[in-house]
Amino acid sequence: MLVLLMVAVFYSYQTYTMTFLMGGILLLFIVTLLLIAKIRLRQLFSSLKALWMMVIILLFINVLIPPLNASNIAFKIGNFAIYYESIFQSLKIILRLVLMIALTLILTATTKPLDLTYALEWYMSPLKIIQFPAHEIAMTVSIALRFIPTLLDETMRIMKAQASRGVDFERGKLKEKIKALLSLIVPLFMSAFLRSEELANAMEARGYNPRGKRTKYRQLKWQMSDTFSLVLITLVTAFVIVTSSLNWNFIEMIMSLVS
Amino acid sequence: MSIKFSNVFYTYSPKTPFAFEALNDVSLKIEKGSFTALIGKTGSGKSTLIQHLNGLLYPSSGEVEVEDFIISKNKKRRTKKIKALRQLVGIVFQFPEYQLFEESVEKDVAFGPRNFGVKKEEALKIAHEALSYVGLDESFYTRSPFELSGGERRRVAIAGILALSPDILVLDEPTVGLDPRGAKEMMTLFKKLHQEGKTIILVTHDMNLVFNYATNVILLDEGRLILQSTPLELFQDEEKLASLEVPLIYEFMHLLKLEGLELDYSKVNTLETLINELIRAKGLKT
Repeated sequence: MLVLLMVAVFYSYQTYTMTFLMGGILLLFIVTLLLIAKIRLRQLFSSLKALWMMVIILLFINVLIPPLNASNIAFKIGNFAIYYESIFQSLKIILRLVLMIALTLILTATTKPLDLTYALEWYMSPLKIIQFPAHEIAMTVSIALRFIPTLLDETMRIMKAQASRGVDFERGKLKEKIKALLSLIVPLFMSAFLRSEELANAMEARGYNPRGKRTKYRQLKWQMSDTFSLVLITLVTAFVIVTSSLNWNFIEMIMSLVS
Repeated sequence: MSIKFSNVFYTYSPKTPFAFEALNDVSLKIEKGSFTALIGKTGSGKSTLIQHLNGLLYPSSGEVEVEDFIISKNKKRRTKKIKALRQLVGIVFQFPEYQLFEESVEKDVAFGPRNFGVKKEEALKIAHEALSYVGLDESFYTRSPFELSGGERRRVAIAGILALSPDILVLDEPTVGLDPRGAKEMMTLFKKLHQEGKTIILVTHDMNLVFNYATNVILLDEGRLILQSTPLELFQDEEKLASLEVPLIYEFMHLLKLEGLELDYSKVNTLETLINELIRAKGLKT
């Protein structure tokens, strides 16, 4: 069984540390991973769709606010200057966003939530020495993950029921909107509480004890592929950190090699 | 005619790996003033079908007409007055007790009319009427819906839909989870509403309800329309019945028939009519 989980943890880390120049290389790397994970690029785009508004707003704000050390004016609108730096800055943010989403997509598409929980517990296991409730937290997280789709279903259901009672969730004055939201949130909370109570009872009825010594139905084994992916990811991450901290300029290097 | 489906298809999450065709070429008519039972296995498309009736879902292709309203994928053709449609067609969803949210019962029931622009005092008056309809008296008006029992909460929720005074009332398994007496009272209420001229569409798995109350039956399977007829025709159709549970009365009559008693099925739909028919068959005088 693959312990791909760790790979994922490294991912979100490296996206934050990458530099603008490295972005392209990382993008290539991640797209390769996407292909290996058999995720269609279309799927990535469709999950990006929801972010479009955010991207546009980010672009807008970033382009309008000049960075501190801006000096190169790209063009002027009226007497408002747009700087190259701010354009680059916003492009960088968008690139990061895309990469982050691609990475989380890989994580969720390749890893079962249960495996994620195991990984979480495993990572926190050293903390058990100082009485840290690793298992409880892992369990809470896995329950939370498990109930996201359920709650989404519930939300849709209540929205439909309230829409049938004449609630308009899209239009209306602020006061009406608050009322509409209230008519959704109150029943949602009620059913969530009810559900959690039922779940707790069901768990207790089956003898669940968080302090008890537990065995696992599925044993995770370390395999060659895990070592391989761990080494690969470590190398890529190290490469990113080293290059960004040493300020290598690839374009110059390549240019000098060519000439 | 009140409701017409013409070649309606509906696909959930189209163009994804999870695409699921819930309705497949459904064409049917539901007459004004009828009591129609919508039956079929879980996942046969019943709930999807009823959501088309008030424009919660638009067909992937095909069209639904409800009175003058048109529900279609085509944005130019479909009705703009979605609110008016929702007032005409009231849907009581499964387990409606989970849609209550106001601090008092009367406020919750008045919430619907208020959304349709009714003034506060007027809405409360309508709410009180609707509550008395479902058998909840004044002592309930100011109580919180969350301190009521499950059955009472369901009554409040149903009153919330009745308060909109819809001409077409759609009920998705309204008796599930109620005690037998509560269920009977519920059905009596719907029967009364039907007699007052409302069109009732009842989604159910309970064939006894179909037999006792419905004037028409629609049978769906895997999103396809299998049969549209009267309950009597359905329960004589051995082949279509194969996948359904048979009403108790019908089973009883079937056994009597095997014993050699000549019964006219078409005359029986309640316990009383069965007794009459038995008396007739045995040649006894009343």
